[in-house]
Amino acid sequence: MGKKGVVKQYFVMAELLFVGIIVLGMILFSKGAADGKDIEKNYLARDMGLLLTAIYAAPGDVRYTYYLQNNEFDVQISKGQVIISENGLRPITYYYAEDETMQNPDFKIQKPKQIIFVKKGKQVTIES
Amino acid sequence: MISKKGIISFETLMMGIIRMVEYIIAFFILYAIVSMFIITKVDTSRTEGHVYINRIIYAASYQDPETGRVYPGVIDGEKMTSEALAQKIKSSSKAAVSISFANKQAIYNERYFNYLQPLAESKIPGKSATLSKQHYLFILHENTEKAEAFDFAAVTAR
Repeated sequence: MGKKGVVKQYFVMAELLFVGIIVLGMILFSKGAADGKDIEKNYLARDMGLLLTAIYAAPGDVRYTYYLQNNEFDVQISKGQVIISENGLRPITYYYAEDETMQNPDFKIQKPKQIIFVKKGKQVTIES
Repeated sequence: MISKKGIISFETLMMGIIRMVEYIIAFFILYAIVSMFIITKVDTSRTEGHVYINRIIYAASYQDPETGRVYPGVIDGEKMTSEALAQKIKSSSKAAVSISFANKQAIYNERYFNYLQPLAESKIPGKSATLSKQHYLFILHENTEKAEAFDFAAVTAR
């Protein structure tokens, strides 16, 4: 095979590689959209973020149990962020409002079945 | 342009580039079609505005200096300042609230408020729309008939 033929072969291989990347991207995107996990994570992050923001506003003490049946996601709540991920991958983040005059939570757990939000005096803690 | 002795012809190169552009266009068309039919976003902007207004109302609640009792929902005007709110409500959220009362103004998340308020006033719909929510709490004065109110204007990005 001449030099020209070898270069053409490389060119075709590069093209095939490019097509492969595009197809893989399409499959991953379609899979992510079809299994509905992104919307579930998004919902959980927003729900917990808004719940925590509301709990901080409570004038008295609060103990709120958040049940997560058949939960497959990891939960991390700290520094004003609720992060929901699948084994630490593909995280979805939403924000909650902390209070600098209070002791704020730092919480991380894998696949919890329930999360308990506690506001007592000048302290907000999270348990499972 | 590559000469006849070149290792790859100009036509082959151009055809390859055109094909790659076609793949990219096809990918984006598929992405747009799938995005149209599958919901991946949750719009909580309306709830967010409501939650932040109430958070501010309770963050500035009046506390009796002698007994220490907190009166939820009764606002202490002295606690309603931009600085106090920034300390009591610290968030990276794209929610901002302006509170106007008795010729004074306090703004929570001022940077976002200045950015989002013109967008909210424009009322441009769509995915990047900004929502505006108004809320009033009336001020009670003794021995006066003058009607005043705390005017809460919340703006939240979708």
